[in-house]
Amino acid sequence: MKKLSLLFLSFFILLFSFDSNAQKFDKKINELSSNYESDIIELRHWFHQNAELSNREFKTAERIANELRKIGLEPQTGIAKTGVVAVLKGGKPGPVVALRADIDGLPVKERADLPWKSEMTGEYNGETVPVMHACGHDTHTAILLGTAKILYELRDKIPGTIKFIFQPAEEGAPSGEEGGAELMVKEGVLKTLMLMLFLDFIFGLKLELDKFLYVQKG
Amino acid sequence: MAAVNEFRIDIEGVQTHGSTPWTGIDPIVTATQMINSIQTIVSRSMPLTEAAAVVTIGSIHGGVRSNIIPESLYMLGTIRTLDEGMKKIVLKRLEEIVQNIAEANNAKAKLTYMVSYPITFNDPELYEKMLPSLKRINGSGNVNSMNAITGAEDFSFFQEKVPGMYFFIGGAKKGTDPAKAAPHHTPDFYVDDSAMITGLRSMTTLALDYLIKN
Repeated sequence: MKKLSLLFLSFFILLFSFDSNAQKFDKKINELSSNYESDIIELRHWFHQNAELSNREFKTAERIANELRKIGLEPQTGIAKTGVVAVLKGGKPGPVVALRADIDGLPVKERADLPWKSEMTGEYNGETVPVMHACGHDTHTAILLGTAKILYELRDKIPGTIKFIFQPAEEGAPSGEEGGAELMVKEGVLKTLMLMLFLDFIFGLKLELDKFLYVQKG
Repeated sequence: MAAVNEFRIDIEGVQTHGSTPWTGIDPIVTATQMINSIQTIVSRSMPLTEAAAVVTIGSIHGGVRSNIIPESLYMLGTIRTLDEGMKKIVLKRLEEIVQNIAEANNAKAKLTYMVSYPITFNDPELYEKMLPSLKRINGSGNVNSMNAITGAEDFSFFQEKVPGMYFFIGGAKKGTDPAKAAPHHTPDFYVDDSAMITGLRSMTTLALDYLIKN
C-alpha cells in the first residue's frame, strides 16, 4: 500500500512538474508576442503588398530569407523551387518539430481600400493578371517569422529542434510544373521529422473574434 | 479538410452548321447531359450519412457563335471528398458517366486529372495531446472543435509522412459579423491584424509544449 501511494505520489509530482514546465514559458511567450506584434503586422503588410503567384514567389522568398538571417538563423533557399527552410537547434536534446507556412498569392484583384493593398501583377496561363493574397498566406508567413523570432530567443531552453518551412505553391503549381508540399516532401524536407504544425484563418462561422480557435478533431 | 481531385473533360464532336445539327455531332448537347448526370454522383451514389462529398464543374469552354456547332469543348471541375472509399466511388462514377454519355451521343470524351491532394486530418493522438496547450495559452473558452470542411490543403502531403496538426484562427474584424466576411479567394477577402498575435502565441506554444512533452 505504501509502495502504491508512493507510486501515485511520484506520478502526481511528475504530472505537476510537467505542467509547470510547459507553463513556465507562457509568461515569456505572451510578453514576446506582445513585443513583436507590431513588427509582425508590418511584415504581414509587406508580404500582402508584394503578393506573388505560385512557384514565382521570388521577392517573397528573398524577404523571408533576409528576415531569418536577421534573427540569426541560416536559411536554405530554392527548396521546391522558391521555398525557404531554416533549422533552429535548441540548447537541449529532443525531437524535431516542423512549423509550416504557405507563401503564395492568387490571381485575384484586390478591391479593399487598404494602404497596403496589393497592386501586383503576374503571369497566369499566358495572361497578365492581378495578384493578391486572397487566402491569407501573407499572415501565415509573417506569423511563422514571428514564431521563429520568439523561439530563437528561447533557444537555450528548448529540448529539441524546430524546422521552419516556408512552402511555395500551396494553391497549385502552374500547369506542367511540380510544386508545393508534394515537391517539398520529394526533396526530403521531412527527413528526421516527427511532427508538423500549421495554422490557417477561417470565417463564415458564427464565431466571435474572442472565440477564435477552431481545431478539427480527427 | 477534404481531398481534392481536379479534372478536365474534353469532348470531341463533329463541327457543322447550326441550322443542320443532324450533319454533325454536337459537343455542347453532350456536355449538358454530362453535367446533369454528374449531379447524380453525389445525390444517387454517395452514402451521404458517412461524410460530405462535392463535385463541381467550375468552367466550360466551347463554341464561337450562335450558328456554328463547334468541333470540341472542354470543362474543368473539382471533386471534394472526406472519405477514401467515397472518393473511389466518385472517380469510378465520373469515368463511367463521361465515357457512356459520350458514346450515347456518338462523341468522344477524355477525362484527365490534374491537381490531387489527399485528405487533411488531425492525427487523433496528437489532437488529444496538444489541445490542452491551445486552451491554456488562449483560454479554454476560446478554443472550439469544428466539423470537417470541403476545403482542401496540400498540407496533407506532409501529414502522409508525419503526424500533423492543423488549426484555424478567426480573422474577422472585431464588431463585424464573421458570417458576412468575404470568402477566401475573393477580391474583398480580409484578415484583421488583431488576429496575428493569436497565431504567434499558438504556434510558439504548440512547438514548445510538444518538445517538452516528448
